[in-house]
Amino acid sequence: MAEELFDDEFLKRLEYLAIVSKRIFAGKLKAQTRAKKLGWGQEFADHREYAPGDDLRYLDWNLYGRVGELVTKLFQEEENLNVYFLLDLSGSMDFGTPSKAVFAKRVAAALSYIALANLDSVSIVPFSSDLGQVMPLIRGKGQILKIFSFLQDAPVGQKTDLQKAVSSFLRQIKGKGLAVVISDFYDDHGYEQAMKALSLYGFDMVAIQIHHPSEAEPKYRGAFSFSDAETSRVHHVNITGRILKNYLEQYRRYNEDLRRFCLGLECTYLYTHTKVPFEEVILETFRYGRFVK
Amino acid sequence: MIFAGIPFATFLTLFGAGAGAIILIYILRLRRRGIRISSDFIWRRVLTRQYSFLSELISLLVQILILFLICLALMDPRTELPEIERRFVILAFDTSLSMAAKEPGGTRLDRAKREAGKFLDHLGPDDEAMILAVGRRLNALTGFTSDRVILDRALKSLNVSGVDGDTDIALAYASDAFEFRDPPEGSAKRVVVFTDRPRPENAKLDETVLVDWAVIGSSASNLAITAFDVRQTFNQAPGNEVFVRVHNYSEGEAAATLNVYTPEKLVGREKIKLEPGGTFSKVYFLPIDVTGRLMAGLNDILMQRGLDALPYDDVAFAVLPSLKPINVLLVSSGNRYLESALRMNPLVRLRVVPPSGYSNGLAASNRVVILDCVSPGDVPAHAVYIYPASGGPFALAPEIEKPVLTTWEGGHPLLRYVTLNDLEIARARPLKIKQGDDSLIETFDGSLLLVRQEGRYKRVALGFDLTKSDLPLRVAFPVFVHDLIWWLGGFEASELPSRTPLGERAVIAAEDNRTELELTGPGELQVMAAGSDGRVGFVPQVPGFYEYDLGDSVKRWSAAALLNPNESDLAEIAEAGSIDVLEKAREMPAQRVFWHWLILAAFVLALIDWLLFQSGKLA
Repeated sequence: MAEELFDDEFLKRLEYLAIVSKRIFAGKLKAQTRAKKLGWGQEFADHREYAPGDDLRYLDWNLYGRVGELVTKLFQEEENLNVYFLLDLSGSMDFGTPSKAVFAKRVAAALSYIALANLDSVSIVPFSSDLGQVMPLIRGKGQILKIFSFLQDAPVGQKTDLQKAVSSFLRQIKGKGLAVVISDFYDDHGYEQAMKALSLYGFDMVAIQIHHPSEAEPKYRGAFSFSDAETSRVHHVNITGRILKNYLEQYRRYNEDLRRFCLGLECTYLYTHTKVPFEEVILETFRYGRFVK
Repeated sequence: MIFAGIPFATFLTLFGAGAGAIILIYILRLRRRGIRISSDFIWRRVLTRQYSFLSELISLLVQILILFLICLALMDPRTELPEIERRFVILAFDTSLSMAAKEPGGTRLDRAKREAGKFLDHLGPDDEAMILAVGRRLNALTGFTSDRVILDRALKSLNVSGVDGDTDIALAYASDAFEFRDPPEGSAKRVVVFTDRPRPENAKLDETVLVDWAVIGSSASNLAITAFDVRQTFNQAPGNEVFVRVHNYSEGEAAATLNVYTPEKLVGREKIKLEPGGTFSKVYFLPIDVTGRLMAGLNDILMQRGLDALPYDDVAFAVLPSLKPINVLLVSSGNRYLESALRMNPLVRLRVVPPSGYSNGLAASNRVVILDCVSPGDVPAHAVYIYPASGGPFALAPEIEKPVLTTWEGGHPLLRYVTLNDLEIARARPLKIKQGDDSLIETFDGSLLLVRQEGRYKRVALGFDLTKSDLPLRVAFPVFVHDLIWWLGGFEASELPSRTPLGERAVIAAEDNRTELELTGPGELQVMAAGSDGRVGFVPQVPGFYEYDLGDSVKRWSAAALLNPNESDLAEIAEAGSIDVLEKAREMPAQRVFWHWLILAAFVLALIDWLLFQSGKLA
């Protein structure tokens, strides 16, 4: 599994992606880790009325000389960006060759590498029915092997419950940042509450929906016993053309609902499937511009 | 309950094989191909019903039940008839034109067909029926058969034709048909006559045959042309008189426009208004040069009560005879009587030449050559030899004085209206009769008037000199001369009826002695006329003109018209009665068949099975 997941070929591609990300976004890299927080940094941002206890070094004496009012200068507080990869490793992701889970891990690894290369902090947050073992925030490009190792060892299975996982996640972490949710979004409990909660907690969000091609265009016809990879539930079905048509309609509608929902939360939404080279997904993420500023 | 379809063994085989196949498919379906899917998340939205072994089992049972119903339908179950005798039924349809009278729901014949169809529905598989079309002539459309397809086809082919459906002939034929078919002992024999005529008193057969009279028809108004006749007239000028009569057969007033016309010109137009039962008559004179087709038609018909029900008597057809004068050559040294008689005949264009002026070329340009006391030999035209000399075509006996006439053929066209009583003849030379000659005036010494056919030409020989008898002084003489011209000039054909009432024999004069003649009737109807002795005939069944050609590329016509008050008087017919035969038929125990209900049930079950178990919603 480990060799298949992050082999030499993968690492070469990763290096290539890091270079490309730098070239494309060279003009923006200086501010790449800017957080939203106002504080005591280097770059002036605003004034506010002086309050007892404020550092007198930040009083604007020039302004006091002109208008006689005490105001304090505020600066953009510089802070490293924390990137949290919420990785769906439920049973439904363990499907196909390569499996959706493998594909998701590769995407997470690649994006982590790029984030680390950009001096950001990265945390891997696997989840299924609940939050799994979380890899705490790490910094520095040299830490990428830890991430590889963590991802290789992250188990796949159980049902999906994004809501419960996000709930646990928000209780555990302290900082804000960018939440990248990588999942197939097949969740009986719904993804809406979890995504809203992330948004309310001030996270920038990227949703990457990963499916297998057979989910987008199933080619089954006849009598089958469908076995659910996540729940092992069995369905005896007679697949007709009408059923296939209905399925495609439902599939399209579900994805479209997800896309619209993400749009409403100002969350970048990406749809891909496992036959797409993962570097294309990464580049696509760059194009949306949310991941790297 | 009996089974008239496949035998029970076949049923078992079919059902067993079919059920086996269904169960096999069911078992195969139980062993579904297993497929692992990442999530049933979307599928659950499509597959709304969960798999249920019970529903699968119910579906299997339903399918087996469907198969059972189909196999049972193939066995054709039906109620068992009580022990009754087989039935042999003859359905006789009056196809006279009055059955074409329009009534609510179609013509009377349409109604009769429908009623007959219902009647046939009550017959069992072993019963047999026969269908007769009864017009002036009888036409058996089928023999005795139990094949409903044949019977239905015969019913469909029924159409009106002719007049005066002769139900007597139908009953006589039915009697013979039963005798010929010889139904098994104890079988029920029945004749049902569908007609718009009341039942005659004598409409019955022997006691073993039940005769039913299904009277079709309700009160119907009708305006009809009941007469359309043409006759020659020489009163003022030679020509034809046309007589037309229209009758109102309704209980209200009727108005219409009567048109009498040829294809080229309108002869007359009358706006007529008739009281109930009223009649309109009119005579038109047509000059001799108006020949060929003549028609009368009623248009813009307005009836105070109801509608004009029968269209066939709103038109009438006739053919005007050709009375064009003919060229006649009189070869004579001088015969004032004969010449005068010929000159006064409007049908004669006379040329008189002395015997020295005669030539065959001259004769050939005339239709009739009259040779007065000369015998030039072979004459290329119809010829009359008056007191011929020896050496001519007629052999002569020695001359006699004051011959005594013993007989004359007053029925022959040459002597029509001619009386020869007390005819005085000074001298005569009797004619010797050859084989094929017709002697029209006989004496003790031989014939004085002979008729002979020589190839295309007719020869007439008179055995005495007209000037040596008192015949020219008698009234009979111009009549005799007229008869000569009439017969030799071919005017006899014009005596044929100008039109033939439907159902009667139309006669056509065919001078070439043909025995068959093909005619084209209304609607390109092909009719063959047959006969002999220069006359062929046929019986027209549809009003209209029947065109024919005698080989000279000249179009000729024979006309047929309804002109039958019996057919036109629909109101009288309507009083006759009502249909009660169907009620009688219902008295007969009918067999109920179930196969179509079984097929329907199978179809409904299949539909339910598909909707509940086989459609895409079943998981």
